Amino acid sequence: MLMLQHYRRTLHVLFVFICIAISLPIIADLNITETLLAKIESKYNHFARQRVEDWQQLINTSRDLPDLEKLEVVNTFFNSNVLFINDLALWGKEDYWATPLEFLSIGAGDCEDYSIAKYFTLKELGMDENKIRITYVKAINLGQAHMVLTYFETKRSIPLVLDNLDTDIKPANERTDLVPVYSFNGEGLWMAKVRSSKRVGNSSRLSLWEELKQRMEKDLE
Amino acid sequence: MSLSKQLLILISFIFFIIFSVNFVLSIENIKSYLEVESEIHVQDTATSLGLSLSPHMVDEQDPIIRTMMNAIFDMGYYKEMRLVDIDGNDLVTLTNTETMEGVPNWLSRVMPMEPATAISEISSGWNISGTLYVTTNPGYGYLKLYEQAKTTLKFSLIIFLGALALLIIALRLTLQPLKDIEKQANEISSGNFTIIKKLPWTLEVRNVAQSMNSMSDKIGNMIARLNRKLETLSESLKRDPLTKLLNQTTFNTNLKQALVSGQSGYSVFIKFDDLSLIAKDKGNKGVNKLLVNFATLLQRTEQSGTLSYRLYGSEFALLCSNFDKDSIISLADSLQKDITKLGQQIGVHDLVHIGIVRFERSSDFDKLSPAMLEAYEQARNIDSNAFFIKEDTVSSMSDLDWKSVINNTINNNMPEITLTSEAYNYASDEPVKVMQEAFTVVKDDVGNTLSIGTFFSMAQEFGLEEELDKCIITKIITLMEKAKQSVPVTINLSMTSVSSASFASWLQEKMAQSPLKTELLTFSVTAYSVQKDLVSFTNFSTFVKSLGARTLLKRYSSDIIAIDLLKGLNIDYIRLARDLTHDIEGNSTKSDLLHIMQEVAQLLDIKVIAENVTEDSDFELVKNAGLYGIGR
Repeated sequence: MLMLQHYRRTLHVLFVFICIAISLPIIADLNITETLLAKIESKYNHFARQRVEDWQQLINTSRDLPDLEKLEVVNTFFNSNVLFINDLALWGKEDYWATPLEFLSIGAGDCEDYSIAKYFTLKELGMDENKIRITYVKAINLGQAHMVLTYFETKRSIPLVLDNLDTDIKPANERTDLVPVYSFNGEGLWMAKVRSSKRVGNSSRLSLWEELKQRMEKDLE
Repeated sequence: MSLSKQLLILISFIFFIIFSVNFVLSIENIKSYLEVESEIHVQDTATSLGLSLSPHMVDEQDPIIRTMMNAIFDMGYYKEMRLVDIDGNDLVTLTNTETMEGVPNWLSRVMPMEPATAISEISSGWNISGTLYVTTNPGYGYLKLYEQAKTTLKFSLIIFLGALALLIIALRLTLQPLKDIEKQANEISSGNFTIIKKLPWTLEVRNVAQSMNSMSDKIGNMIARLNRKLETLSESLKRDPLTKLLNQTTFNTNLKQALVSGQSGYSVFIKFDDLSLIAKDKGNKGVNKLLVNFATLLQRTEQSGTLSYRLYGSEFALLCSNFDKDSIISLADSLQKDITKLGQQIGVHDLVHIGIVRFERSSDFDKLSPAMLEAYEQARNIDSNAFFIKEDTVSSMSDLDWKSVINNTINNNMPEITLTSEAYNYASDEPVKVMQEAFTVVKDDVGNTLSIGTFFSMAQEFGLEEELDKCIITKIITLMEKAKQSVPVTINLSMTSVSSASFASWLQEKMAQSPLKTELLTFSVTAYSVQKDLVSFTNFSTFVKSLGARTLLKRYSSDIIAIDLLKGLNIDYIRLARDLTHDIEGNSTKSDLLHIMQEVAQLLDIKVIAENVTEDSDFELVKNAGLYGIGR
């Protein structure tokens, strides 16, 4: 019986990560079970479990909100629930991409983790993918590379910036502390990575996302 | 198809499949790799070019945008680059329609490679200012794929051929012992009981080779043993038990053979005038001693090239082939002196008389015996132990007459053929006719039947044997065709024809023209003639066998040709000398000889036929020996 549960759980987690990897709506189907929650709680702590439960709650209750309100709840949720700590301090690595689950469970992450988690949560809430971009920027005050999520109401409108440094959502022209460098849509960013990781397999070009998936599978075994 | 060929084809086919699958998989892998590489490459290009164009997108008409795109595009790796503004309007489109040289068209049909397209959004400040589409030129992929395919195919073929060469060598090494065994089996069936000395190392084949060796050894030994026994029996059949001189049967045979083979010389008949009188005086023992001493005396003459015989009781003979008149007179003189001495030893003055008759090729055998008796009678009138030489050649015709009659027979196609001497197989309840003989009758100008033996011998003398054989064969085949013959027929041939190449080609043509089944033709030569030229006969036998016909050795007895030599002659039948199947009841040796001969012949797969078995008692004994065919 235990074996069966373990097997089902593993399959379940695998499915979650495959869904994330190919950028499909995942959270609703995630159906974070009591077993998984218990596991998260045992591995991290009670707060971790609470954050994941809250995340699921947010997804379940915010689908019908207008875009701007979705932006608000998602931005607020992650900015207020998770601490900004760079990868080197948190994971001992220069660049480490955490999954939304991992990110929430540990309760900390860098700007990439914030952007990724916000991006997929918004997508899950039904946000038009063409309106959101992940943008590489330079944070002038910090003097370092940074990443934010941007929202374009129309193609030509000034985007809104969802940042973890400045927790409020502001139009880009008000963010003089940031210099935009380049932006990717989610599809362009992830599909290429997933495709290459599938084909190239266990090579040095293994994407960060693929590495992340494997790590989570192992952690949740 | 040979085993080695079957294995070669099968394993080659498996090799071919393995190499083909490997080749196809390699090509598929290369294609897949090239596609992925292409996708990654084009994506990198789109991203990096997008990044480079970003600062310049403030002015969409800035010529530097096109210049930068041209710089990358002119590397030739891309099929199309397209830059569109935020509303989807084309700003720059660069297209390369040239196809790659050196790549066959069929490759793109057989292995289509989709050109990879990468998309990169270009931002200008916070805003997205356009989208860059970059599509690779698949020609480079095809070129690389084509070159890889050629290289892979080349090495696959080299390895395939190398593997085939190794396979052939391995098969040869492995199957060579089987060929040796096959050769041994053929040798055994030809009567050569060979042994494989170098045993193969493959266990199963080694066991077979050992078994074959054992079998070959056993059969060889058995045949050798039977042959030795046959030799002993034959020898005892040929000789008189008391004096150990050759007997009357042997004398007749030898004289006939001498006539047939064209020899001339003298036949010497010696008879004790009154042996019973000596018996009364000396007793049987004394007579026997006298006969043995007399035989020793005759045997001494063998040094000068005679053969000595005890014909019957008090009758003896010498066969002096190739003697001229002087040498026969010298022999007779010497013999007369020795006999006189022998007579003096036992006190008998007049012991024997000697009748001598000259013979030559044209001599009539049937007339020789009366002539010998006549000469003997003449000698009795001369002196004690005297001899008389009868010089006329007991020929019924002169050489010229013979030549004329032979030419006449051939030219006018006169030989008369009858199918006689039917031999039956008695293995089943109903006797089955298995052989007939084509008997030739020739007559002179006035219709008298001529001695066929002398006729052929004279034909040989005049070099007309081959012509005569052709004439007779033509008549026999015509007769068989008319009679719709279904039983094999023995056709007698001379050794001249047997060893003639022109006769062989004539025969081949003749057989090809005839609708007759070739297996019905059984060509026969006397054992005595064959033993003089075994090689020619073997070649002829092999030749007619290749045409489907058969061969038979007639008047066979194991003292003429040893029975273990028979298989080498490639013959189908032996027909025994009449003497071997005559008066068997009175001579148990003959019965043993028949049984052994049949046993060996069966081992050698040769059919034995007995002819002219007239007496019922002989017939029963011949039947019991299990001979294939018996003629009565």
